[in-house]
Amino acid sequence: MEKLNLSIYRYDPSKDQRPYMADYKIESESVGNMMVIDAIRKAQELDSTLTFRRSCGQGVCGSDGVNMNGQNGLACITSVSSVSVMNKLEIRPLPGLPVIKDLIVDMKPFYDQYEKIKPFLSNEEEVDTGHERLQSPEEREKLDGLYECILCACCSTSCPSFWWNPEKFVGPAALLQAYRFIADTRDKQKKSRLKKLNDAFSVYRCHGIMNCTSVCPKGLNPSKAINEIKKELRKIG
Amino acid sequence: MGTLLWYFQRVSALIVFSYVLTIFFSYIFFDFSSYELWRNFITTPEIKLYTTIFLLISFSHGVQGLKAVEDDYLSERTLGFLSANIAKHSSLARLLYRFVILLVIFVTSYVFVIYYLVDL
Repeated sequence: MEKLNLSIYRYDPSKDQRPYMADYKIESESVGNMMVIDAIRKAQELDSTLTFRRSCGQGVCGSDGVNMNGQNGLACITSVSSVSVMNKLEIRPLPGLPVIKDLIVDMKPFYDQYEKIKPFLSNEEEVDTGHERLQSPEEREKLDGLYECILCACCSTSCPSFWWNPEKFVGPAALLQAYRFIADTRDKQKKSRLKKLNDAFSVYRCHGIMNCTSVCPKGLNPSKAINEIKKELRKIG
Repeated sequence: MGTLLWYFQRVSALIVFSYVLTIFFSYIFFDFSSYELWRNFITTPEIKLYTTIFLLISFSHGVQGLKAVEDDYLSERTLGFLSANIAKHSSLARLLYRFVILLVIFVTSYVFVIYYLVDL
């Protein structure tokens, strides 16, 4: 039987004055191979008040973003062996967002920034060709690595600029999505999208430390997208 | 505005760097074996003008950087990570921070103007 010492952040604002770390010992024949979400579920079997968020369990919905031994990621596609050190694993909620209970954070500040960038195609030109707006394969290719974001918030909550200024700095996830629409040839609001981002905080608060890129569970590169936005901003002056 | 500040930060850094290089290579290629020789060089009108531009640009560059430090680390939210009590006084912390910066700028400018430009 393998053992795992799990230490999980606990906080219930209705009864706890302060957050605390609760320890659980998980014993299983395959601790090393199990995913972190399975370890959390085993801990929940020991204490049913432990609260966490999950849905698809296969890295598609982005519900179970947590901080595992200091690194953000999705608990359902991260194996215990890849993050535990000496059979110890510390799990905390995503940093920088208000905690609702235990591992569940309030995503409102994150979604507020996402809403700001108007994440939808905007094109008021009449289409009289009888078919949808077409793109060449090259134009479509530009969207690869941008549209796959599942909005798990792992990137934005690993970014110090987002921790310090969550109301002003748009954050890597929303900026990746902003560039997804800026780069889309079917969208006709490129200039106004860029103008809205052209202040000292929205984009330029990114100092390029690339935490976002290193934690993205989908292997996307928000840092590159942010640099592309900066290039576009410099083009319009 | 964001792009303008971005450009300013980089161009000002280049100007500061060019000044440092100028002084460095002057020191290598010219004879500064005595204080008088050094003084004659540094008080020529061209170098005085260059030094003045360097200082003004350095201040502006520095102020921009220090403003970023204030925005990031002296906000109510950031100080709240340390303690809720400290966070309550974030406005005072920012005020003190600005006062110290202004004091440093004032003292440096005073020393610079009196002892260098006026050349007492």
